[in-house]
Amino acid sequence: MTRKQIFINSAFTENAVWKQILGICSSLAVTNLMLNSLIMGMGVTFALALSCLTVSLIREYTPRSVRMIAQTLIMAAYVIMVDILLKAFLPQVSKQLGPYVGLIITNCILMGRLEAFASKNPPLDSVIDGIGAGFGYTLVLLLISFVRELFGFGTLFGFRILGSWWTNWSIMVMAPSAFFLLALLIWIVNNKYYKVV
Amino acid sequence: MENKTSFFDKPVWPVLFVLILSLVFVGILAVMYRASEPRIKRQQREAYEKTILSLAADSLASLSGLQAQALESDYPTSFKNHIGALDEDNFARKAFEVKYDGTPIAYVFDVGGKGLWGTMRALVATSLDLQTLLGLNVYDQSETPGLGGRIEEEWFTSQFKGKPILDNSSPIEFEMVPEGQKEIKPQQLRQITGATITSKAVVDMIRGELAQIAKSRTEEGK
Repeated sequence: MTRKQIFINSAFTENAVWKQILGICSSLAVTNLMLNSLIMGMGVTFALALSCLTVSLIREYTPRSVRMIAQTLIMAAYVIMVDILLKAFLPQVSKQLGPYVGLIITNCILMGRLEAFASKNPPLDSVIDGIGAGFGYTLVLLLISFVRELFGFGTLFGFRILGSWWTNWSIMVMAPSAFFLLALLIWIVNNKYYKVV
Repeated sequence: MENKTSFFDKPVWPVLFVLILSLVFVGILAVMYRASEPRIKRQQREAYEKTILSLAADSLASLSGLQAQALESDYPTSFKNHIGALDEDNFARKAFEVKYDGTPIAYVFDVGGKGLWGTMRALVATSLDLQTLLGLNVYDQSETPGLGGRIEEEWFTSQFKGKPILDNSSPIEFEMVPEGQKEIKPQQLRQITGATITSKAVVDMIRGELAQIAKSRTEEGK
């Protein structure tokens, strides 16, 4: 596979959310505002790309028996680094993200990509795969939060789109709508692109 | 025969591997944390002090004739000139005095309470007799983002400004009205749609804490 194919594969064809059904928890939790979704997606992409690089660099020396401990440790370290950097240099963003940063560690997408790709492939390919998977995840978050924020608040990225005549749909802000929308998205994408033979 | 490849197959290697990896990453994190700690602490303190200043700004502005905004952007000088920390023993919580020309004109209290999901903390500005609220800022909370989390938003906190909160030392009852409605009486507050419990928790926190402060003060006065 060329690097472009790796990216397309991990971002779209094998998209973590709609194809692998990973990272569902955070897709439900952070998608009521587009800004939160974007920052969460960027945090995941950043931590994922760096973890992929590190895991790939040490893959020759990693004993099979402890590889998962090592992967979790590396992920956690990068996530904490992101947290510290945000707190020190972007306190506003850090406040916005709040508990979400720590939750990146438990995101199955990271573990999945590290185990399935980075532990078997050269560093540069792994980074591209990580960025691709993060991009695909961010895309899904933004799609869902677009609908939720637009109908739930009448705004996009905090800017008012729908006028004062608009009655906010509280259901869009609450958890159930995320279930409906995510299911709808998975259904549409699978129906259109992945025909079950 | 000992050589490099066979060492990686020995049972001791996984142990060493995890040990080395942990040491490296914990080391990096420790250094990063220590290096950025003063910066983080300073930013937290500044954000806190700026919040106090913004709560006091309106009262100061009406006395001094300065613009509230000018006072806020004049941090840290204006903070040093107008805000004084009070002895914590007096009120059993962090408290600040807003001064103009050396005479106190208002208090700012650091209050805490329970929200729906966890504890929350807020800064409340009150008049000297503690009967009237002058401002509110919820600076720490873990409520649902988009629902209860909106207690930090300006439209919600600003409606507390000027509200009578105590009748001597007993808290005043508030009536909650829907978010889209206008309050017509001073005892009414707009609550957040979809966050009834959190909205009420904020109101109860302020009422309870201020009543306690007032009570402790009258006891001391006796």
